[in-house]
Amino acid sequence: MSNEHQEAHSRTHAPEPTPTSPVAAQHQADDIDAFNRELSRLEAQHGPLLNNTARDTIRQDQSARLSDLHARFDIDTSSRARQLSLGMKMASLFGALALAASAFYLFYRVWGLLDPWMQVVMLVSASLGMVAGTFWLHHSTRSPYYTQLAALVAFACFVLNLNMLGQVFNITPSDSAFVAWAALAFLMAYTFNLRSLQAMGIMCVVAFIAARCGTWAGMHWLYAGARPENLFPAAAVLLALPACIQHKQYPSFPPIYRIFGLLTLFIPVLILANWGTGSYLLHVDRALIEGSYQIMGFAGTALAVYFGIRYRLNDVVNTAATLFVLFLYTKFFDWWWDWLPKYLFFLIIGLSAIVILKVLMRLKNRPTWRREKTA
Amino acid sequence: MNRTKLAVVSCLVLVIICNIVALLRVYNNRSGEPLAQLLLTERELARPHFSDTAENTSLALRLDVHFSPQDGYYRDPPADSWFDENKLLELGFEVRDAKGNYWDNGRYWRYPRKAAWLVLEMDGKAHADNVAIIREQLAEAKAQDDAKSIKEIESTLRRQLQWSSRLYAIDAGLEPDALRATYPDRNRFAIVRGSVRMTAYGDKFTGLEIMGEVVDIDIDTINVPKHFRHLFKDLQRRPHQDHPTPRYEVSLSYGAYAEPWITAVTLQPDP
Repeated sequence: MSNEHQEAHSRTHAPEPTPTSPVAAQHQADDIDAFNRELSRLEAQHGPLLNNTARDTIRQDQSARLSDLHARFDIDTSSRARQLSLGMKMASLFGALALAASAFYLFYRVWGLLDPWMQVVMLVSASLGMVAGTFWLHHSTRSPYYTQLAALVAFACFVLNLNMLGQVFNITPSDSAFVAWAALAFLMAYTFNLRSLQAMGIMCVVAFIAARCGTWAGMHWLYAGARPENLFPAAAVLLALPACIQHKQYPSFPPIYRIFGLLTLFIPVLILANWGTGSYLLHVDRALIEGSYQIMGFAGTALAVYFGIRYRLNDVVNTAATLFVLFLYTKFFDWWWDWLPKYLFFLIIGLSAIVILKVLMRLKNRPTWRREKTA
Repeated sequence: MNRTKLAVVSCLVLVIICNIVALLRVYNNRSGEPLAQLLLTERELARPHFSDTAENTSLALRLDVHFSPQDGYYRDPPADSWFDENKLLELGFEVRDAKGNYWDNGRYWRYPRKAAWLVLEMDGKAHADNVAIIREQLAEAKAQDDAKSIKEIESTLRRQLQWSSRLYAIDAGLEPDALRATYPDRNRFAIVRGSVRMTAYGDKFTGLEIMGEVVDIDIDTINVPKHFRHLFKDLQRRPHQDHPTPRYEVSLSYGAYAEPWITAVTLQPDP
């Protein structure tokens, strides 16, 4: 079961009588599938449990509901359909990347042959056309895959639009462009329930906040990355957002905010744990900076794993556990790579992975947590 | 209006407003009298090496600026460089802190680049001083009869006189109006946005000298408008030594937002 379904399942709630979102609709379809599989298993063990009338009634009701849900939300009504869904999502994503690259190279190929006003018309038309096309496609096909593809291409066209205007008219690069791009990405993400656009919007917001923090600290915004700590405010925003704003109609969005929040927080910590020179703490010894960030990295990721398990947030557990392992292996590399025989080094890496697996399994099978899961 | 219709209208309005804002900026930048108008040649505005490809039909010229007097060949920075500690303090760098931390394996470079306004001088004192210093070095080499050095310095001098850019960064500040008041000649000085950083010369035996360094200017690639492009069509890219003089002149204007645009291109006759 995918993460967003676990997110919805993990809280005790009454199922929606009439689903209003694709996720809720998929939830209902999964419930029907689970019910049928469990009934088959019980009947195989104990013999027929339902009379023909009840069986026919249930079957007719399920068939009608699945047809309705499929027509309205294009959901997966079988395990085969679910397997194909993942492939379709990947195809949609790659298709969007390829089409965006095509639009980019098309413009570069023809723009030298056009007058400036025609270049402007072409850029603006591409953005407006793709945005309008995305809405039309969503309305006419109701397929999330085509919608995702069109929305990503629309976003790419808008990025190209502002970028190319800057090149044509020699406009000074500005971090304000990230705000515009983020606004379009989030508008489309929340309209069509698209996590890929949400991710694009998040990256733009992170870039803008980091650039502004760098500017306020007296740096040129283009070089704000020279101080990884500029990313911490953005991380705080991303981690606070799902806690402060309810996403009832978008249950798959909070995990994305949390994942990006953790990455935005701990990747700078990892960098500073190995490169203290990049810190704002100019008057502190570099070794002390690196040591402190290493401790912060280990303790922070371990704490995140704990909170993820405590509050049943699989996305937090998985992300934090991965980051913890990254910190650990970076430390192993620092300590042993130069002097330990390579076979021994990788043996230790492998053994530590087994230890981590054991620890996580123990945490997962804790009686308290299992009781909460079945509640 | 339902939610989806509101969303589509919002997206379309967002795209339109962003484009209007960008185009208004261009209009405001180019309206009124330019803040600077420089007459540059192929020496200062050359085509980048890999600009002509089948995939990119545009043409852009690259602004070549000397960020320090010794650009192009190795030489110690001059003792009277304009980008000294006082200028660094004026720009907000923590000079005292850098000095105190030098011995920690080059910590001075922890200080990231700052945005600043730069003064570019075209064919002025900076270029003349640079040429004069090279001539002095040539005279010294001739006095010592150092054939290898003479050959190198002569080549450097020829490059400086014929092909090297005559555009130099000569000052920096946080307020463009103050810089314009100091350098009022709009045909010789342009005030542009760029980035600067703190750097250091010396070692623990000779002593440490903290200085500033211009890193780059924000807009160093200038798009050539379509109606000038035909002038470049027949100009083949040739090594400098194959052509003794620049082949074209470009009039470059800087507007209210210090953003440049090309106003005229003139081909120079072959010598």
